[in-house]
Amino acid sequence: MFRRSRDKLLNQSAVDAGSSSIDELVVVMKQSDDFSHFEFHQMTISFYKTLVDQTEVHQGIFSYFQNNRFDRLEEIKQALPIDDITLTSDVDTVKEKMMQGYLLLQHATNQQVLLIPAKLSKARDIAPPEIEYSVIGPKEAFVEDMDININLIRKRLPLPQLQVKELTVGKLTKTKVAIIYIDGIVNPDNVETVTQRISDIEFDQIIDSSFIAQMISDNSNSPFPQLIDTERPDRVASVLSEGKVAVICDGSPHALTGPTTLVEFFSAYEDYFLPWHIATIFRIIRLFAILFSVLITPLYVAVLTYHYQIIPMDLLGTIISSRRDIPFPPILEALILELTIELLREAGARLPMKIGQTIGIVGGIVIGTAAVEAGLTSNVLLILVALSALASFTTPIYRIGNTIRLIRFPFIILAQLWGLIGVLLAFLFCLSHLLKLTSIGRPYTEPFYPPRLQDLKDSFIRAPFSSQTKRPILTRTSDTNRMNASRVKAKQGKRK
Amino acid sequence: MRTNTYKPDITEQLSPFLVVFLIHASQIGEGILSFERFIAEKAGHDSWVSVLLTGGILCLIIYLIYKIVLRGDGDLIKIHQDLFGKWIGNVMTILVGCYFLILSIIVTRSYIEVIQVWMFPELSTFWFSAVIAFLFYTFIIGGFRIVAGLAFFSVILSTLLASFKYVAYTEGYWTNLFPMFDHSPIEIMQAIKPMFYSYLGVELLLIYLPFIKNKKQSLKWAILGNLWSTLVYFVSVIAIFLYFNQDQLQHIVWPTLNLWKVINLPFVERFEYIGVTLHFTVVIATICLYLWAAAQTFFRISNRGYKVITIIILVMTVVGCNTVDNFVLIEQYTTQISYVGYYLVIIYIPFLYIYQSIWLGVKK
Repeated sequence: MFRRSRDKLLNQSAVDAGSSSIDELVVVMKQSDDFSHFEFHQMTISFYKTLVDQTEVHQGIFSYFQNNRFDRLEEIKQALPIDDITLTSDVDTVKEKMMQGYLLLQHATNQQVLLIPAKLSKARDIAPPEIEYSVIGPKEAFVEDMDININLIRKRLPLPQLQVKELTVGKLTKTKVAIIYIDGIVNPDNVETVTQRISDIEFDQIIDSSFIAQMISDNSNSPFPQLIDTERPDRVASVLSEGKVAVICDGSPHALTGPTTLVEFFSAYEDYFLPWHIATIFRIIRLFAILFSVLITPLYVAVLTYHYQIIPMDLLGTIISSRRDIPFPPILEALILELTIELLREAGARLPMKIGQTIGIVGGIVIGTAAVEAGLTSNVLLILVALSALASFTTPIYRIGNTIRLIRFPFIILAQLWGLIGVLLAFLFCLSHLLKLTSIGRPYTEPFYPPRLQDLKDSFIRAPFSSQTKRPILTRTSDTNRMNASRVKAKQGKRK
Repeated sequence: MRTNTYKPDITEQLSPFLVVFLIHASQIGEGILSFERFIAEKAGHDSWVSVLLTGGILCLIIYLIYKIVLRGDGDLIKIHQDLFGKWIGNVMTILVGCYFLILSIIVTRSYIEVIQVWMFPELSTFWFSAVIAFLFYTFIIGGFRIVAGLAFFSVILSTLLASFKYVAYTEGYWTNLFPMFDHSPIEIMQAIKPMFYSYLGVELLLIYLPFIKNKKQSLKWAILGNLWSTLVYFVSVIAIFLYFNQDQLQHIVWPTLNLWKVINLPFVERFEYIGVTLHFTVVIATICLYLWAAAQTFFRISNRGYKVITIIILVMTVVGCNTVDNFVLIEQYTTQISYVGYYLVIIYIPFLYIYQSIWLGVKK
């Protein structure tokens, strides 16, 4: 009973209530002040001033009516040099099209109406990527307009097989979402899953692609992101050719790509622009940075609370002399410092860029030095915490950096409880979660587990392109060969 | 999600070569810390021969298990029901399941003992066992794929830890091994029985083999896994014999841990703290495999949900860990359960094989 009454409420909500006729719809729309409505010979023209391109309306459409006289709507449809003109009597179509910037043309003698497109599309210029900046390589990033974004991808993959599936989600925002994939390479299951999950979304507002990412993730309670969000068209083009699926959401400058793995979050796209050995070393450094970032504070707490015997004699002297005047146990000391760093980061992120820099300097240098001089924290820990914060910023995908900073806290608490064993338990809890995680139904910890040698070639190492003859097993592509391997070998022989 | 059949879904199946890691992870566990003491008691410095012999016997046993499972086309539960009828078969299965459960309880308890002796003398058994039971839960509830994943990662650690036995080779006394073959073959044979505890784990194949994709192909991987364990045990036993003399060895409970004390790295003074911690992963992987096998066994013969059974089993683990509170008792129980495992592997499995052969012959 309760549910039924709630359903009734939902159905009666003002937004859903449809108008029964086009005239009624116009009356509703007229209430808004940016709605233009005027009569012209026997015709009525109505549109939203703010949605249409007014220059085009005046120069392209109105001038036509002034020079020619039309008696029937069909004549107009044939005469106007604009395509996508629709003749309809369906109220819902009229409503939908008008909200997209169409002109409504009614004729006194005709039941049907004419919809003429005059969409105003204003988008930001294509700018260099800010989050995934690379020194080498292309410098264009997605903008908020979906068509421009798809254009950026299509320019990089000029293929008829590149297919775009458009869906509309969000009851209020009516956001257009495009699912992009290369037919013939992608596994149809992946497309199917993504399409299904996106069309299942029940939410009134979809503002950004991150809304979709949260709603279609395999496990939305996990702190680990299960889809990569990128602002680089080159990255999207590259993963599409690996058989992955990309999702672009109108109004969002970030594309989502999946299925993905944990290691992919630690691969910067710049790695592909560098020679393979240099890129490999950078990736390994990044991986160590992450491990360091997660483990170093918990290890400090564990070792100094319980197992100071582990520290060699010489190092112990240094640590003891730095901790001699500290009134807190290691756990409090560590938590205070970690929270301070988080505070600084959060303040820096919320402030405009110039003030943010000042905050960084004040926080980092002044507070840090003062805290050590006042004897509140040891400078050894200050170094470790600052380093681990720095290390957490080496992640190329912003989202995983947040995860890294978050999961450090359970580690610290378990370290306080059971020392090294506690750190290990935290690690194993993390491992069990990661092993269970999937991204669009594919294992998240691949290529480590399940171990797949072929996918290891592009994980924490990046093998040379000539050895990456196959597409990743992860995506289970329909066409596994990237290139003709035998020809590659022949070429290498010639070069010698 | 999980159905009560012996034919798992393709998404829950694993590649055949992962059997190497499964066998290795289920064999190497708590036993490697102390097995040298038990075998040296019987055959002295020649007992390394028994290590190799046991490894050889286990290869045969693995072959028998593969034969049993492939001919029976199913796991132990189905084979038991086919061979002995529903009632007797289920009773046998329950006995085997209890063995899995008790073994994992004892291994858990004895490793908690190790932690209490070496790291935290005041560690509360109850709270600690409760937390690790929750850890086991998170792994076991994920199904066999997740448990196998833990086993896979634990193998990397156990191999790394085994490589730290190098100190004994540089600082030990080779004369400890001589005169070679000073003991009679009977004494060497006698050392096989205590050695078996460390090699236990192959019997789990009876439960998890249906989860492997290409069963026939995986036999060679299983043998390889067993040989790998044999190599690790062999390196280990030689290392301990080089470093400690026989009299000394009888007074050391966990020789490996004592050996780790010698290791001196530039940034780590007492390696045994790190060793005990890292080795815990290896032990947890073994326990998870056994607990998973117990949960799977009871799940297959009962009508309850997998989750419920896992929770019951884990509560029993916590209770079991807390009832045994004495080092001598732990040692005693370890010896007893290792004998159960010994008889299960060396007598019951060949018996099952022969019985199945006869049964299949009669059926034809």
